[in-house]
Amino acid sequence: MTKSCGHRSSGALRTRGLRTWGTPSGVPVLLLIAVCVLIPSARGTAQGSANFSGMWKLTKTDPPVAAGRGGGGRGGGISGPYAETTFNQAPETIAITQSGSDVTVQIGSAKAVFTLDGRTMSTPPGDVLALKTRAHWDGAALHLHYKQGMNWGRDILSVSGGTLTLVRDLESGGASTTRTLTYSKTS
Amino acid sequence: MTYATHATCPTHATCPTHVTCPTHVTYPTHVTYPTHVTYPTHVSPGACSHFSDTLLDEMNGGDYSATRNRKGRVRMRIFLLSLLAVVGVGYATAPASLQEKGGDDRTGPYDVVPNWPQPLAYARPGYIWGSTGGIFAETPNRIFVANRGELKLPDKLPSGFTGFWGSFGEQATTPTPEFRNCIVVVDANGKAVESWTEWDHLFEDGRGPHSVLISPYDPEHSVWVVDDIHHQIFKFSNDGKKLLMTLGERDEAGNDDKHFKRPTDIAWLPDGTFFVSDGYGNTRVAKFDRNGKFLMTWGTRGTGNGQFNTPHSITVDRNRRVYVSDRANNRIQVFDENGKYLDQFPNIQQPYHIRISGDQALWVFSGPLDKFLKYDLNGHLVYAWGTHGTAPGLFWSVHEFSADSEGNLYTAEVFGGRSQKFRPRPGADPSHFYKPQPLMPKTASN
Repeated sequence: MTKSCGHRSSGALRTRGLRTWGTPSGVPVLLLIAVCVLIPSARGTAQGSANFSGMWKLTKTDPPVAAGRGGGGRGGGISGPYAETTFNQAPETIAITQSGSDVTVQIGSAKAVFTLDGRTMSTPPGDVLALKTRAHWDGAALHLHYKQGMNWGRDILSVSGGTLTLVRDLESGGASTTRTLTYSKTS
Repeated sequence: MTYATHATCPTHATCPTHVTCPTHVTYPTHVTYPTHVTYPTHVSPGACSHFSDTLLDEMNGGDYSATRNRKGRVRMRIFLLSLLAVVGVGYATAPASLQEKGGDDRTGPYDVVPNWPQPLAYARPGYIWGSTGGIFAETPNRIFVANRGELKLPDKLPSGFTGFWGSFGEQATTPTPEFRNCIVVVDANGKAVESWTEWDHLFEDGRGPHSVLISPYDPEHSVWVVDDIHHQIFKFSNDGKKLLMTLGERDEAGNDDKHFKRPTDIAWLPDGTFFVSDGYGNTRVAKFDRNGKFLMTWGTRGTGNGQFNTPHSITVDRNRRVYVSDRANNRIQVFDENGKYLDQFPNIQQPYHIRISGDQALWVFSGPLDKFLKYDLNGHLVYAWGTHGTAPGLFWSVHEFSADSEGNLYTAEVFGGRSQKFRPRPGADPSHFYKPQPLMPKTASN
């Protein structure tokens, strides 16, 4: 994803060498610079306010996970422990540790680390079957992207009081599943 | 019964088991052959193709011997004598190949072109073509292949390996590919002559391009590539040097005017307006103007009219009607260009890819059946061919097909992990060939 001035590009259409995400002609350059400076600081407040750290217990799954496989789909096997935990089930408990630079999600013995700088992390590095993770903020919501083998996931995390809502997209071959998981904080 | 290799028995007809049909015959598609009729054995050659409609109607009527009247017998004798004379002369002069016995009609009206494409010379040693998402023939000598990355062969090659992943029985989508040589151009001889490696990074960490195509109305012959897993569509200059347009945001699924959720295919109107089937995740068609400005969308999840479950392919006919492959609902739905529901063609097993041909027929490839199906635009099945397998000419999940101006047909197999080229068989019924919408002549500047 390309970002400009710290906020998401407003247009999905981009033309090579021609910016199409919209600068009204005649807008002074200084104004643009000011916007670039001000928006990140404003957004930083929202991003900093969300903290997902804690132990979380599953209270609701919508829709329910079908027996056998959560994400399902043709055209690829499950290729690693983190994908196993996310694609085959709605985890009963998850532990999240958040620091200023990264977020660690622990589900049973499976663990995924997401750095908060938007870069893709590969564990182990260079392995075609590595767990690849990437995270970025969208306001107060945190997007966690992960890929292992031929399985892809995106979790959008938001927290309100003691409730964590996790909207999970799972993609695998010809299958695509979206599920909302609700957790309550236990510690 | 002997069917010649290029004869075609319609899928809904039952042919009598004791009749020997000649090699050069095309069976009428509108006939149901009665199984309880005793056909005169001495008229078998050519009989199927030369029966008049009237006679066929009589034979359809049930008990042949009981119902025929004297007039019918006379007509039959005249007919048979004429037939014998015609066939006798024909056989006396026919080439030996037309008189061959056996065959199983596995490649319909085409002959498979062996060793096309050639092994991917651009691939690293020990790697081969991967799952093939799409294929598009710009000309007979410039065929785009959407290659979902390279696959590393095991150190010890499995038995049965003949050069592509599916040949040893595993789906080519199972191993995790390495994203090199994702857009490759192949010439008429199957040699890879271009690889757009500068764009391989677009497909990194995904599953490679889903489909590749060129608008028939675009004089620039821009090349469009759909990447479902990254939720994006790319428009490249014809030479691959420029990325002209990107629709959708990488890895950010959505169903608004700026996001897709695993889009699958594109179809155009003559003015460049285009429709996107979207897709594995969303259940809609999105419409854009020629510049990529979002115009409208239609479709929700479900099984009712105008609802979808995996809209996987899309095509437009000459009357601007939009046909959508509603894959998991096993049907094709028809809309006007503003999304008004018009019709549906049910009971078509997982239509993977659909195209309106230049002669205005609807061609479908059914994934589970591994079969090409030809329908008229009212949804009536008129012809079918194709068989599952990994031998040359057979199929394992054709995901996109295309044809060039010389009538050669190209197929891309996602599970087989190969593409194939078929040339029209001389003497085959021309109505059995898929004839693509011709591309607008390319401007000199591009």
